[in-house]
Amino acid sequence: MKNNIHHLKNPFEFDAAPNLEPELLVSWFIQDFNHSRFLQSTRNVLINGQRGCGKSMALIYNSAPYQKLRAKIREEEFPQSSIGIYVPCNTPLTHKQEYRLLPEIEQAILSEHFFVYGIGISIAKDLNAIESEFSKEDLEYLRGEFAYLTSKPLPGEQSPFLFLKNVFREFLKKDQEMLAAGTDMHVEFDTNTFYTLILPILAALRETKLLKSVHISLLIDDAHDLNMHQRAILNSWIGYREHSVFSFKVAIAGMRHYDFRTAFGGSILEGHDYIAVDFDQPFQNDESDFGQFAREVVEKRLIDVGINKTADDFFPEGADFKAAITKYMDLATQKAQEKGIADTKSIGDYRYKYGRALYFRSRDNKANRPMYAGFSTLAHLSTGVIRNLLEPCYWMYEQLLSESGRGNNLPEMVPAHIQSSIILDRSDKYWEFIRTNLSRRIAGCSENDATKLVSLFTALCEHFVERLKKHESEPRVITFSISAYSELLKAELEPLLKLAEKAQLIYVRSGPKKKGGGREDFYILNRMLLPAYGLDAFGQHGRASIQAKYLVAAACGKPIPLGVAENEIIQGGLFDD
Amino acid sequence: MTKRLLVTVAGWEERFLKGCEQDVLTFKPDHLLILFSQEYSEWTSQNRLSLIDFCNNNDVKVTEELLSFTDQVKSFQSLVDLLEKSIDDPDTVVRFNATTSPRDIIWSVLHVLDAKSIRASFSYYRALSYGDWISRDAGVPRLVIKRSGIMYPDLQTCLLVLSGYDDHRLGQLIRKFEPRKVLVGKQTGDQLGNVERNNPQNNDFGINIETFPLDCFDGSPQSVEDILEKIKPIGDNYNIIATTLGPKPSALTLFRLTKINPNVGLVYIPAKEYNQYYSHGIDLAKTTIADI
Repeated sequence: MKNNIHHLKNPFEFDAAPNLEPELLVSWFIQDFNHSRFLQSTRNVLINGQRGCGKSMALIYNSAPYQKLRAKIREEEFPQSSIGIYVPCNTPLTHKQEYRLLPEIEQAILSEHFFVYGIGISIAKDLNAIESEFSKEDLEYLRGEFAYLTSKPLPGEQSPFLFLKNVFREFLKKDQEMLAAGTDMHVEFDTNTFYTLILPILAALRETKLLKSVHISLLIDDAHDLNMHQRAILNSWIGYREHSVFSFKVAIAGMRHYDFRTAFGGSILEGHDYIAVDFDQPFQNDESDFGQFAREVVEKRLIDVGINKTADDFFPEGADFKAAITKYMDLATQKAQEKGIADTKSIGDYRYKYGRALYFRSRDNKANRPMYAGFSTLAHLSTGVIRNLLEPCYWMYEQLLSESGRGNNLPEMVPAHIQSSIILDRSDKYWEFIRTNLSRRIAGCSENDATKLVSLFTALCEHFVERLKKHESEPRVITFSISAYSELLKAELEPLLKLAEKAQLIYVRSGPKKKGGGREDFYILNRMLLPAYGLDAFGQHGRASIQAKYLVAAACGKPIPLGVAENEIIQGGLFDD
Repeated sequence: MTKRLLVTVAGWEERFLKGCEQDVLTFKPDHLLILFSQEYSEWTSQNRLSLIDFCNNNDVKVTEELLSFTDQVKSFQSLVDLLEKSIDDPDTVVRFNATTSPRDIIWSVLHVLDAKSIRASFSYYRALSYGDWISRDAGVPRLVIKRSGIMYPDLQTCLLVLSGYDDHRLGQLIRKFEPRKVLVGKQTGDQLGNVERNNPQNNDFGINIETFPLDCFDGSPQSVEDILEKIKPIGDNYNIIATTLGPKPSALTLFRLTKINPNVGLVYIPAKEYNQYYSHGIDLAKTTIADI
């Protein structure tokens, strides 16, 4: 029956997590042990990750309605040691600007007022979904508490959570109407704070039999969308270090640029006030955490529609390409032996560095672009972002169905030619987007910035093509760090790189410096840029250190030189990236 | 005697000057308030000088006032002050020539006039021909102060867009607000290559776009009725935020919509660069004059 329901559905649907059906989300979500451990802990946790890396899905998955659904499916006890309340921040309520008409202090008061209503309504909404778990006595007790808290009568049998949600919505409506009226701006209503509105609710919940020993996690999604006052007040709450009753799990896109100051002039500190978890995952090979995770995501979705195949079987490599790679791997072994390399590990290292490079070097300049197929290729092209993995899979599945018709037979696999045509098409479209749409789609990106970004990324790809063909020691490196980065050059380059990060043209990670200790940023191209240039999607450990002056010149249309003297290679270690 | 005030936002296009002259001749104001932006004061200076000359020859008092196009808060506060100062008599009748005004300023002017219960009309003049682009370097989309609707944190977002030819802005709105639903009122007719140029549903925004036909040039209440009908099934299940990427009369349509349904919020995408040569001439046969 399950298969009949799902066989017409594309298993690689990549809609935003809040838009997915609860059953699908629960079914598709892959628990990462490390992430889940933090999300279910009693600590404050800040989750970093770019759009599409699965932050929202992880938070929603750990919210009370989904915890209950999971428990029901798995016939487990509910609730367990903690429950989550999902609080979305990318809502029009957060984006309202009226507060800016007020003096600074009142701006902060009004901003907190709306934020805590958002949290209050989220508590009411999520707990309403699990109301049947509360005893009659618990509900009666909560009715009394909520009536007292809101100073509103609560009729006998009404759900206390629906009541709370409706009353908060009523207050919100009145407050917004008052702010919209007339031409001036006065806050003439009683404002709420976390301590006057949310803490009493949490305290009341802890008095119930159901939640008396259950920790409550407030799962704040997209905190970067909060206004500056709301971010500061959230930081202040995070700085409140008593976590026995509740804690915050806060998802932020781009923690590197997040403001950690509190409303009281201090700052929150990693380790003391919160633990940071990074959902932007490094990805260099199939055995990495992300490689395993990506494989599980795809296989779980396939099983859900009744396709019992491994990810590698469903997305096979092209036979010719596979044979060619095998041939050049063998050639690399032969070359290693000719150089007098004898031990197995060194031969393996040589094959890893040069095998695929030899294949790409053997290709005629006028030849068509290579075939891009196979699950590993897809995983590499995702650059470690799960939405980037699902998107081409989705279009491949659609193409497959449109070619084979939507009969009752489930597809066995996606032929390599379909995979390759979709990948090349997505890559070309991505470049088309960069060449024509950056200034129109990315806020803050001027025409001039867009022109520079096109030049910079074209030069980078051309540089990596040259490297693949000619570089002697590290031909397959497709990641770079910046050296000789003076303040002057930084002022010129950094705004461009920030825009590129915002547009997800690059992903920025931090790793240990090879010289002088400390850490440095390194930059990973969105690998969907590579097929358009016929580049190998499989990178290798290590990164090229490119001097800032060459990147600045590249933004103005100059090529990035390949010479080792100018661009030192940093040999990567296993845990570098 | 009833005072008559003409309000306009200075533009560099020919239709600004000719349209205002038309309003002076037909509306017969005794006072013209020209709002102009510091950022584009050089581009608009010749049109402003010509308009002042024209008003002097027609015994119309003229006041010029600076307005920020970039700072929404300052702009709103200035508008309130300037309009309150210019409308010292509540019986004053106002005509707002919105031909070359940014849409957020249109909505703020309409809001102030509405809040003060001023009798007012709206005028818009079409050009004879248009260039390829009007503006670029778009900033972050922002909800309009005092017209941001009634929003609830537990509802998903519906984006209502009256379309123009700049689909990139639609893409930017989708990226910013991550709506669950997108409704696009698609301009009817085949004028200005509309059929070929206006196909937002063909874009790869990662979300299904539902379109419905709408005459965005129609400033009559019928357009509002058409949109109300379209959003009726959505009911109270979504936060609705609306904008127009189309002609200026559709800004009036959306303003009227928010008067009837105050839950709907208006959103605006600022731009940092405008095309100095966007339009040519004025088509007086296709003028929009509507009561607010």
